Amino acid sequence: MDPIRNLKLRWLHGTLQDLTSELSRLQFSRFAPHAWEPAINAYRCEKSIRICVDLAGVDRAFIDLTVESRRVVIRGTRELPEPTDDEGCALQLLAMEIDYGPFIREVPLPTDVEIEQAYAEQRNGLLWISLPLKES
Amino acid sequence: MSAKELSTLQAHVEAKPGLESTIAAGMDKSGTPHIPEELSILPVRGIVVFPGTIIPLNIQRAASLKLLDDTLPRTKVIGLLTQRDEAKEDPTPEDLYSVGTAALVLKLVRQAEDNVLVIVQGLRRFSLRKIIETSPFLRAEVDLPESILPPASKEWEATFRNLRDSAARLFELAPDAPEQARLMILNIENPEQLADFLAPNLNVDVAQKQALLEEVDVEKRVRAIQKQISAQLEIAEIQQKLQKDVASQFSDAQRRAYLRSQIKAIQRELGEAEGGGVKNKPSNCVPGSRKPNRQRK
Repeated sequence: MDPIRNLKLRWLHGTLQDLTSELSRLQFSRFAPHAWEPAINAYRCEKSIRICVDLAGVDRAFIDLTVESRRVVIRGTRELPEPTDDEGCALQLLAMEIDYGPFIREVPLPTDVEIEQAYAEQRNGLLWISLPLKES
Repeated sequence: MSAKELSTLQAHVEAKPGLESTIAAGMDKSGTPHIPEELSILPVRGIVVFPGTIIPLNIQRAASLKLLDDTLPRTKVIGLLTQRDEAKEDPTPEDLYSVGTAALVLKLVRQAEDNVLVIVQGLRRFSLRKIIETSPFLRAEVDLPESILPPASKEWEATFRNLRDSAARLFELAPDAPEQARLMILNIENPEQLADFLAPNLNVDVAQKQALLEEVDVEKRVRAIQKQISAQLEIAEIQQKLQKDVASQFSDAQRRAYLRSQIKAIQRELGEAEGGGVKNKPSNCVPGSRKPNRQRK
């Protein structure tokens, strides 16, 4: 997990009128590189751990998945989804709530997995990662 | 593209030595947006946005709303310039500092017809080269000055580490600061990034922050921030010492009060007056006397 991205700064409301005071006024302030975190569901199944990552609109070419025996890291980039020229160019931006740009998500695993047998697939905008449990 | 090609990443499994393997090592896009030479300029007041900072901006002025409407369909990069006088409602170019930060609009939420919340991330310093338009909003050609880094040396390394350690110590002294914040600072390896992270959070006024933004010499910037951090650290350490002294005195006072209450209770039990004197006692309560057996049953 990127410690920078997850920095919560509400604690800055303190009596110490120092470095922290300006941050509390700004509500939050984080240090780049900005990387958003895709949401996940994770399951321990009979023979594997399965992780579902919400990565709609991300081309597989932009997904980088690193598997370690006790950790999975998903990195990549989601391009800003915008209407194409064929659909008619945007005249006004009414809302922009979908995360875009680089993302990273680190998932610690509760048990050892077989790294070489790990695989992943995209289904309906979700990335499913399957991590077979290591036989003890 | 077939369903098979779309759905599987298995073919991209690539074993790495040791414990790691990488699946679908896709092309890594840098994600760094292009900063155009011409920027729409959004005046901000009361804050100085530094590269790397992510902040929410509440947009209400008509010109600023127009800027968002006209610019964002084309590019998500805008220029942020701080107002010299934050009371000015319709700032002219002269009312703005000439050095600002190009920023990427990450999110936009319309809260009302005339109130839009945008979340922006500072990308890079820019300086005004030429004003192109002033109505309906400011547009300008900009330059992107390069920061000046000192040559690598032991002294420079020590200067950087000193700033990092001081800042981490300051965060450590903040009452409710999470350990995460301190660790984050300790993990920053780039002096310029560290300076730009600390600068907007210093307890100094807008003009002083703006001076830090305008300083392209990283060594000077780091030293100026070190000065502020050291001063704040000194205050924080004095505060901590005072708090400890007060806590210590309070504990001592509490202990004394407790002991006094215990003494009073014992004295009451013994029938002694406060101050150690002995109250008038009935004769049968004189030490050594005993009540009749009948009463003791």
